Amino acid sequence: MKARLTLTCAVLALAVPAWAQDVAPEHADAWAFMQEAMPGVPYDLLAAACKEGTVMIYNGTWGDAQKNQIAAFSKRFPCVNVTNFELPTSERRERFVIESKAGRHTADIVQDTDPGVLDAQSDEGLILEYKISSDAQFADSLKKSGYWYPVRIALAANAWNLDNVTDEEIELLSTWQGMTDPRFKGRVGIAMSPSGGGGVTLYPYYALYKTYGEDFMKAFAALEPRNFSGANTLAGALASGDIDVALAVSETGIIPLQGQGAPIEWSLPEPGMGLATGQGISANAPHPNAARLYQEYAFSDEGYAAFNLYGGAPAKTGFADTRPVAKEEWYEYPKTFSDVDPRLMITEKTEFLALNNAWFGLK
Amino acid sequence: MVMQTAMPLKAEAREPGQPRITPLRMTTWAMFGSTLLMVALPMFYLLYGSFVQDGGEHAFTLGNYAEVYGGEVFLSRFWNTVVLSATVAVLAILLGSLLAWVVARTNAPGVRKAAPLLIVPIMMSNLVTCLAWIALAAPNAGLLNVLIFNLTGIRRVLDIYSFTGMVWVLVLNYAAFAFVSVLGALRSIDADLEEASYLLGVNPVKTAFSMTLPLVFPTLASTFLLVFVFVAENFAVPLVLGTPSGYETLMSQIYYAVADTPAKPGLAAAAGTMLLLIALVGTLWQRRIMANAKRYVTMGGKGGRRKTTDLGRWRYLASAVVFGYLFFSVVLPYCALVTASLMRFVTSRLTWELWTLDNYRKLSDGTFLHLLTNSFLVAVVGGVVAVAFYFVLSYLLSTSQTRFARLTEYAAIMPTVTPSILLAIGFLWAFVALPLPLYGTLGLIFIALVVRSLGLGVRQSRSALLQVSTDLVDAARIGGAGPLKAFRDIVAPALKAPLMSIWTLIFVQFFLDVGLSVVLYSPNSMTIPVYLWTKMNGGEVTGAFAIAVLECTIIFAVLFVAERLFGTVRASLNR
Repeated sequence: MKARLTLTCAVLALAVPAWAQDVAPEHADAWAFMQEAMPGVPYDLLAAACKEGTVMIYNGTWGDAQKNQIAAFSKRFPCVNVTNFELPTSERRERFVIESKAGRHTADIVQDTDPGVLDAQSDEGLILEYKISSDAQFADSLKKSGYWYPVRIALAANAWNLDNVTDEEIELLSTWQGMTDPRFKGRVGIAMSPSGGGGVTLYPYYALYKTYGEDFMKAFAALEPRNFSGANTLAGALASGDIDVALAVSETGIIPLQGQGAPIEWSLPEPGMGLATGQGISANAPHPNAARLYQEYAFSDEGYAAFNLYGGAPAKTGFADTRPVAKEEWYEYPKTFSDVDPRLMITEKTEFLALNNAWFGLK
Repeated sequence: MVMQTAMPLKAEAREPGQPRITPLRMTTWAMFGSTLLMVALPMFYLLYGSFVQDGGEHAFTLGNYAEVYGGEVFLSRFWNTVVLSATVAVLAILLGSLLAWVVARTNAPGVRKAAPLLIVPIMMSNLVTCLAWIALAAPNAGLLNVLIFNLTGIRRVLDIYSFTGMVWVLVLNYAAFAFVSVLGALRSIDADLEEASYLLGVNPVKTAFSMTLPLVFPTLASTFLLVFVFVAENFAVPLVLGTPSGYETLMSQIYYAVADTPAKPGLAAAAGTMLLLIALVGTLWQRRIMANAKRYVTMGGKGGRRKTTDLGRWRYLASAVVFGYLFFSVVLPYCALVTASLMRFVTSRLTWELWTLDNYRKLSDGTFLHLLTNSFLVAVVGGVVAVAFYFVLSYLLSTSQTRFARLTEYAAIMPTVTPSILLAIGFLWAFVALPLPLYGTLGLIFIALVVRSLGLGVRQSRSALLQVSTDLVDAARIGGAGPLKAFRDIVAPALKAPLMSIWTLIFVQFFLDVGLSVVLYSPNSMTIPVYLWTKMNGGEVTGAFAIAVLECTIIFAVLFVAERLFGTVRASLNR
C-alpha cells in the first residue's frame, strides 16, 4: 500500500507540471506529441517557436528526404512554416559562412556532408550550442555533442552493374580486399578529385589507405580505374553499363538510380566506411526557437524516419532503417565501422593527396 | 558602291562658352560611373580575397599567387586551357565561316530556309549538351557506340571522355556563334567585289581566301577572342568530359578549389587572374585590329547587291555540310535529351519498364511556374533593360575619348572573362556586407548578369554601331542636331535590327545562366537552370533532362514569338 502510494505520488509529481502547464488549445496536439517524442523539451520552446512562426533550413541536394521530413514536421507543428533552401555543398557552405561573418543571418539550420567542417564551424562559434533530447542515441564518433548531429551516414560501397558481373565477382566485391582483384582491370570507375574535394569523396580512400596500407592502394590503382568528375556521373556510368564496377563510391549517389530500377547492387564491406551528414543550428539563427524545435523533431524517431525513407543510411542507435533498399535480401548493413578518424584527414590531407595522386596518376 | 565609314567616334570637345555640365556629360558620367562601380565592387572583393589566407586567420598572403604562378599544377592547367580554347576557337570559326559562306554566298539548296535553325546550338546549355553526348557516345554504353557495335561488331569506336570529345561538344556549340558573326559580316560585303574577282578569272575558293577573308578579318578576330574566352571559362565540359581522360583545365582547377574542403576561394581568385591575363592580351590585340577598322570598311552597309556563287554539283555537298551540322549539333543531342527525359535512368539497354512520364509529372506543381516567372523576369524583361544599357554605354564610349572612357571600356571586359563562379563569389562577398535590400533577390542576380555580359554586350553593340555611317550622324550634327537627338533620330532606328539580334543573344545568356545564379539565389529567386543544377547534383539525372527539355522548349517558344513580333532571329542573321 505504501509502495503504491509512493508510486502514485511520484507519478503525480512528474505529471503535475505537465498538467499545470498552461497549454494553448491550438498547441495541444503538438505538445502531446512533444511529451512523447522529445521528453524533457519544455513547452516554452513550442510556444516561442510558434511565435517565431518560421524556420529556414540550408539543406543539401537530397530534396526528397528533406521535403518528406518537412511535410511530417508541418503536420505536427502547423504553427511553424518551414522553408528549405536546397544548395549544392560548396555553395551552401560558402553562403552560410559568409552570411554569418557579415552579420546577415538568414539560415536557422545548416547541414554539411563533412564532419570536419561542422566541427570547425562549431569551434568558430558559427553553430549554436544545443543538446537535443535524443543526444544519447547517437554515437560520439558521429556527432559533436551539443552542436551537430548526423541525419545520415554516406557509406562507401562497392557497386556493380548486374548485367556485367558474375556471381563470383560479386562475391569478391563483398570485401575491400576483393576490389583489388586483377579481373576488374579496365572495368572500374571511381570519383576522385586531384585536390581531394569534399570529405565524402576522399574519406573512403583515406580510410582504406589507413586500414590496409600503401600496397593495397597501389593494387587498387593498378586496375587503371576511369576517374569521373563526381559521384553522380560515376553512378550514371554504372547504371548505363559504361563501367562494370564502381569502387568505394558513396551509397547516397547510387541509391536514387537503383530506386529507379537501374540494374545496380552494392556491398558495404566490413568495416563500414563513411561520413556522417550533420545538422546543427546557426549560432545567430533569426528564429532560434523554431530551429531548436525542428532540430528536436529531426532527430526524434518520427522525424528521423521521414528523412531516412528517402535519405541515406541511418546513424541513430537502435533505429530500424526504413528505406526500401534495406528490405532487399542482398543488402547488408555493416556490423562494424572503421576507426579511422575523419578529423585526422583534414590535417593529413596534403600528404595523403600527394601519395594518392601518384598512385592513381592524377595530375 | 556605297563607301561608308565606321561610327564615329569623335571626342566631344567643349567649345568656348559651352556649359561644363550638359545632359550628355551627366549621362556619360552616370553611365561610366555606374558601370565602373558595378564592375569594381565584386572585382575588388575578389582581388582582396586573393591576398587573404583561405580558411585561416584572414592574414595577408602572397601564397595564393605563389601557388598559382610558381607551381606546376596551375601552369599545366593554364597550358591545357590555351590549347583547348585555341583548338575550339579555330575549329569553330572555320566551321562557322564555312556555314556562313554556304548560306550567304552559294546556291546550295535549302540552306537559307534552314539558316535560322543554325543558331539553335547557342540556345542549348553546354552542360546539358555534354550530358546528351555522354548518353550518345560513352565508350561502352553510348547509344551510338552500341549501334556501331551492332552493325559492325567493333567496340568503343567513339569515346566522348577525351580531348577530342571535349573539342567536339564545344565546337558544335560555338560554331553557331561564329556562324552568326561571320554571316553578318559577309552579308555586309558588297557582292560586286566578289563578282569582279570571278570576272577576272579567280576561282571562288581563292576569292574567298584572298578577298573575302581579309574583309571579314575584324569579325573573325573578335569572334575568335570571344570563343576563346568562353571556352577558357567553361567548366562544365572540361569537368565532366576532361576529368576521366585526365585533361584538367584552369576552370576545372578553379572549380576544385572552390568545392574543396576547406574551400579555397582566395586561391581560386588568384587563379582567375590567369584568365584575365589571357583576356587582356586578347583585348589589346583586338583593339589594334579595330583601331585599323577603317582599312576594312570597304564593306558598305547594305548598299551592295548579293549574288550567289554557283557551286555546280558541289552544292549538294554544301547542303550536306549545313544539314549535317544541324543534325549533330541540334537534332541528335535534342533527341537524346528527350529520350533520356522519358527514361527512369539512362541506358542503352531498352526495356518497357524503362519508360516513364514521372520526370515531367514532378514538374506539374506550382513550383515550376514560380521558376518560370523568375526566369522570364530575368531573361526577357531583364534582357531588354540590359541591351538598352549596353547600347547607350557603347555609344557613349564611342563618343568619348577621355581616360574615364578608356578605363570603363577595359573594365567592361573584366567580368566577361572572370569565371562566373568567381564573379558570383565576388558579388556574394560584396553584397552580403552592403546594407542594401538586394541580397538574395532577383535584382542582384540581374545586376550580376548585366555585369557578367558587359564585355559581350558592349562589343556586340560597338560592332553594330560600326555599321552605321558617320556621314549620316555628321549630317545631322551639321544640321544642328545635338548628339542625343542624332542618336535618337539617326542611330537608334538604324540599330533596330542589331538591337534585336543582341537581345536574342543576351536573352539566351541570361536564361541559361547557372554559374552566377546558383551562388546568388534564394528560395524566392530560384530560376529554371538553378533548379536543373540542383537536380543534377542530387543525382536525378533524367529529372534534370526533363527540365532541360522544357528549358530548351521555352527558349525556342520565346524566340519564336519574338521572331514573329519583332523579327529577332532574322535580325541576328541579317546584321
